Amino acid sequence: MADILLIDDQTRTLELCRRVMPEHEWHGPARSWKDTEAQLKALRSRLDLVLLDVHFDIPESDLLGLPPNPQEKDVRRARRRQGIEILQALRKAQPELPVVLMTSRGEIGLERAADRHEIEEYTYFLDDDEVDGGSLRGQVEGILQARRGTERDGAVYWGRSLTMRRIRQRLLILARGRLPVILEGETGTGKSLVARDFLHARSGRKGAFVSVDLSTMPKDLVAAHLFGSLRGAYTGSVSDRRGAFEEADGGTLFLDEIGNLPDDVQKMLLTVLQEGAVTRLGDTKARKVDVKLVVATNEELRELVRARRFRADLYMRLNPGCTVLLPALKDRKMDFQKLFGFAVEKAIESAHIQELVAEYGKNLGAHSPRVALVTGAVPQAAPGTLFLLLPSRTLALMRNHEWPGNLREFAMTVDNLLTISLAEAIGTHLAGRGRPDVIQLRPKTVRDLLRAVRLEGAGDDSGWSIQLHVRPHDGLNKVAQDIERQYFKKLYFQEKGDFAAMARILLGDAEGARKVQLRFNQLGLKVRELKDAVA
Amino acid sequence: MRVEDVDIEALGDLVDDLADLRHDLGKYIGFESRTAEPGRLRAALARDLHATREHEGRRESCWDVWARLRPAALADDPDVMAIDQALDALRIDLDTADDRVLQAAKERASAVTSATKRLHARALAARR
Repeated sequence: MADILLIDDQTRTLELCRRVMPEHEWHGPARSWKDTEAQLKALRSRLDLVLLDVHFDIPESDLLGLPPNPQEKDVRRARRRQGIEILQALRKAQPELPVVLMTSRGEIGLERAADRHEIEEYTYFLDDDEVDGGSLRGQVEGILQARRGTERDGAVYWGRSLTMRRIRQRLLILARGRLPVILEGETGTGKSLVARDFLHARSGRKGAFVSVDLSTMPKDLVAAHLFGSLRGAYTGSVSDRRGAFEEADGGTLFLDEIGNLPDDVQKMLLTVLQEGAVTRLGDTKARKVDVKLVVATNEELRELVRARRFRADLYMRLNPGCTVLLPALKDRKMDFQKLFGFAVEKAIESAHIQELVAEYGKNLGAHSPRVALVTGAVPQAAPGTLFLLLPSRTLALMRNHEWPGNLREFAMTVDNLLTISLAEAIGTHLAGRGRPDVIQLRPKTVRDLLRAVRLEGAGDDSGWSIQLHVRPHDGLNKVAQDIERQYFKKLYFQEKGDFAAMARILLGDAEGARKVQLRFNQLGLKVRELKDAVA
Repeated sequence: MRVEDVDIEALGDLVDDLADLRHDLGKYIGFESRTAEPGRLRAALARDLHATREHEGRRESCWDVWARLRPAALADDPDVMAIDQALDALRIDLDTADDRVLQAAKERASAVTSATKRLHARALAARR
């Protein structure tokens, strides 16, 4: 099912479309640009496609593109090419929305006008020379099918934007080649996911995908981990060991946070890339390896080279011309609702949500109900279906959040939202309130989840104020630990992972950093997990 | 007069007029009937012929559209004459028409579409 807007001064086309393509949700007809603007506002980013007529018999006051003091001839001309004028305005509002211009390429002049406005990439003319149900259906299904095919690849959701489609296309080409690939992007933008589930999956390579996170590995161990070692090559090396390069032979080696690679290892990596062979530490024998190398960084490698933190010769060997930048979540607003749906779909697959759904399902008389995310009006009940109702306010709160942790933070928030909503619904239903097959994803829940840490000087001597969530547990110790964990976590983010700064706040003494870090670990908090979000 | 005989200075306006004709009549006279299933052909023709265009809620038949846009100067043009003849032949009682008559009407509507396209294309060619 797709959301399609018809812009046409005639109702006939809409009636025809509804008859020949009843599976889609049709909106309109918008009879002018003014109508179109209102529809775009109402539908926000829901639209998948626009069908746009060219000739519009509408009042002069509704016409776009009229010169000042128009003559009758100007009005007729504006009516004849009103679709092109609307298309231009539409491109400013929604640059990447696909539009089918309901005229054939045969109508010379219109096509030229379209080219002149550089609107060709997302503009389709009817394949058929004559507009009818068959030609419309063929065109609409063709476009939707092509877009569906590139919107997602397994766990990677690309979306519909031109930027993401171009990135996918570029990565598809790079996946098949032998050269290294550099992935850049803020933390949580999905670099490792793209490396594993797209680049490796599409590379056609039969070997393993091996991932090494260079941000968490002690510097002294990096070389041995990557290139392997012979027994006794270094203190503690008790047996011969294959390195990541050998493990990934015939497959893909993903080096995350390549900017953390120690200088001496950078030189060794350069040699491996030049020779296509790896020599274990303590050995003299070079072993041929066939590895597709993918590296990722949340810093610009070029800047690291300028700052002399990364070797220029290695950088050049990593194929910098093919660097791919994955955009931050805040720059993917066009696909936000779809991304939300995708994240919900993923969250529902997880065991803990499945358990909650199953538990709630018992109340509905369904062992394992199907879960459907819906927007707008409350849907009619469907046997065995549990509806998650997404109010526009909830979505707006999510959309307007900055998401510094990007997709990782987003996925966690969606997971939390579902967990809390389901858990609350189980309680509410037991109390016998509301329609049992509809669970609303409430704005309040999102607001609570997104509420930023509020560490402010209190203006007196009472210390810092911080907002925490108090949740029930089966013991007071657990309640206290939960609060303490939240407090430490927020402090960690606030102080950007600086334990000395945290110690200053907690103990009034930066020297207490070690003590704070120990307590941090006791609370089950993992630096590795929080580190990316801080970066 | 035929399209090719029209004065070059008048051709600019004529091309625009014929573009309107191609759109208002040619496009919509076969809009539904062209691909209608046999069971829907009668209703589709009724819509295509008797409500070819809409103007702010008012419906305009194919004959009215033709009366509005017929290029009077081209009365001798073969495509104009073909449209005249096809539209005359389309004045049938759709309620009582049998399948054979309906099929013939669909083909005539299609012939009108083709003639409007040809006219427009010829005017464009003459202007070049």
